[in-house]
Amino acid sequence: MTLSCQAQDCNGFPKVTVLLDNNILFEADISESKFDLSIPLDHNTSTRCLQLVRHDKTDRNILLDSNGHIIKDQSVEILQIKIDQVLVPQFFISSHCQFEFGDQCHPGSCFIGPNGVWSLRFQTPIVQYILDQKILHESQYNQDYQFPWSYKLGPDSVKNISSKIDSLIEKISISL
Amino acid sequence: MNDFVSCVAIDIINYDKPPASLAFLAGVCEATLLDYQCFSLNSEFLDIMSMAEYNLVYTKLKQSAMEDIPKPAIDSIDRIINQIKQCNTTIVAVSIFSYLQYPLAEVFLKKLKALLPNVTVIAGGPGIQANHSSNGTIGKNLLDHDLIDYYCLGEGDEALVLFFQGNRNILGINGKQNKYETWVPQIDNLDSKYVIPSYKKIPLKNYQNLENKKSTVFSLSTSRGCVRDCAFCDVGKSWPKFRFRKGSGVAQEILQHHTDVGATNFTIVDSLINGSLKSFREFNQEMIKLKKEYPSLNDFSYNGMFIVRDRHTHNEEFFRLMKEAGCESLAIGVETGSDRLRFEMNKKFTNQDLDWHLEMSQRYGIRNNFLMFVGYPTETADDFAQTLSMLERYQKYLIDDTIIGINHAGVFSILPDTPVFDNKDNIGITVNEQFHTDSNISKLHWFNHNNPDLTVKERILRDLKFRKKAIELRYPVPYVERYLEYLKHIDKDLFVLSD
Repeated sequence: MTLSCQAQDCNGFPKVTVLLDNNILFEADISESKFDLSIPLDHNTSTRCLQLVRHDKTDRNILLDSNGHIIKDQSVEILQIKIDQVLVPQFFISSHCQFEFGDQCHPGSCFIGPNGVWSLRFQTPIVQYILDQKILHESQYNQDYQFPWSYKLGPDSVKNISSKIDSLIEKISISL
Repeated sequence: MNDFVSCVAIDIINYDKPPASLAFLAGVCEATLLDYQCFSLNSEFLDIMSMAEYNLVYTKLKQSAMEDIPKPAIDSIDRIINQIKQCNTTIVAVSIFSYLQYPLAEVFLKKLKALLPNVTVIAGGPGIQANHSSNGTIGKNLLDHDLIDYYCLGEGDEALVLFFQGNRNILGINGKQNKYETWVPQIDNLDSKYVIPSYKKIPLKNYQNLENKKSTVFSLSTSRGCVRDCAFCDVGKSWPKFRFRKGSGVAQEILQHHTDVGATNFTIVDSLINGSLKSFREFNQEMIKLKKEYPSLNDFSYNGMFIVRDRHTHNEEFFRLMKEAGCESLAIGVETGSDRLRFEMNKKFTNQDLDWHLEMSQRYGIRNNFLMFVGYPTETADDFAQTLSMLERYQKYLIDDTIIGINHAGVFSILPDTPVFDNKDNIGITVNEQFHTDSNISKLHWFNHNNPDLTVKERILRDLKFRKKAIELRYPVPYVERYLEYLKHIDKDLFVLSD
């Protein structure tokens, strides 16, 4: 998994620690405004949590004008996520991520302003999981599902069709 | 008195787009200034049947078992024939999509001739050209049984125009007066003879394209024949020479359909859309120009069957041009995940070429449908394993719709006039011809003595395992439920497993 990010420099670039399932993977080496974070993922069936922990931001990393308005702020934003070069749809990211700081939680946010923890919860194998979420998402918002001949899979299609195929395999194994 | 033509398509196949055959017949009527009406049995059946009833008719057709054709289908046929009568029809032009439609065509024609014995009936289409039995084509059989008066073998563009103008002595138009069957000579210059189809009078509401676009998808023909000679395909025999239209002419036809019926989405129904790279490039360039000239064409999109080539022939610029012109999706004949087997099929591209194709498609937002089948006569267990493994490898492309589904044709069925049929002795294939007891339609059963593990049972099991794997990996496989319904009724002695 690759996260394409954008960082704002303000008396230095942000400091971010990357964790997977509460284990530290690495300290992101951010020295340019555009950078990628590569997260190694296995295919084991499991619930996962990717976290970007933003830390060590101080008042020095925020510039204010004489009226107290922010004119420059050290920050990080996740612009897009790719799995093996394939773009993960925005609906998936929005519905599976959140940014927590202080006593606040912003679901769906990919902008990391203050010190805090951005997290993305998902399951592996991730391609399969994204596809399942996509089916659920499209069945909710897409009219395709009213047509029985639609090329799309419905939320129950996989189970139904698999079970029909299993019974045919059994029948054919015995009868032919 | 001028003739009035009723055009009828017998086309219980898919219902993703209105039948091109009917549009062609309508185009001939317009070219000869004859008044006409159009009927598609597919559309009529979908109008009145539940999906379960429709799937049952489809199953009966595939089994050539029309003796217990469901009543709604009979009622529908009666209604069409009554409308043909009411309009004082003088000519009925029937297009039969494939030999599988023969039993239904027979039912329709018997009823038609019983009620309107004096109407001139001419039939055409691939279903007419198919062999019926040792007695020749299905067309000849229908003629011998007085169910039709004429049938057309080969391209109808010029021959049907002459027929509708009153000529009867035309090469390729066969009637009682002909001692021998004749075929229309292949048209060499498509641009000079091509009949522009018309969709103005074709009922469109029942055609639901697979990608669920807001407007109907219309068929478009830009070439005939194929530059490949795939081992399982009979196009090379039907159309030995690959011919193509000028890209500018195709673009003008699109503009005409857009003006006539507001068409913006098209399926190019050729064997392949990129057979002539020169013409295909010109077509894309012309469409880019037209879209600038006619803003209502901004939503123009096309899809079609496409041959994968290497990265030097189909470079990045090639994909960019396609996308800018309106290419939305491609159906690619992947057939198998095994390079070895694909080369035996004469497909002439590798998995590496396919990797490049998908990478570029992904970059430019072009969707792909895989055309697949299992059980080619030389397919080994290892080849089949490579096919399943390929599904896993490309699963990621389902995320962003670079792959939108698999059009799975089921188990390989051998066809006469194909390279694999012609080479059957060299390969070690024995073919047995069997005739259905009721319809007398020929079915070919085969066995490869050099690949004895590929029994009928093994082929069916591979088909089902393929479908299961595809579904488990979340590949959409259109019409899967209909196919499974059909499989429930299969009998090992009587089946055609290709979808």
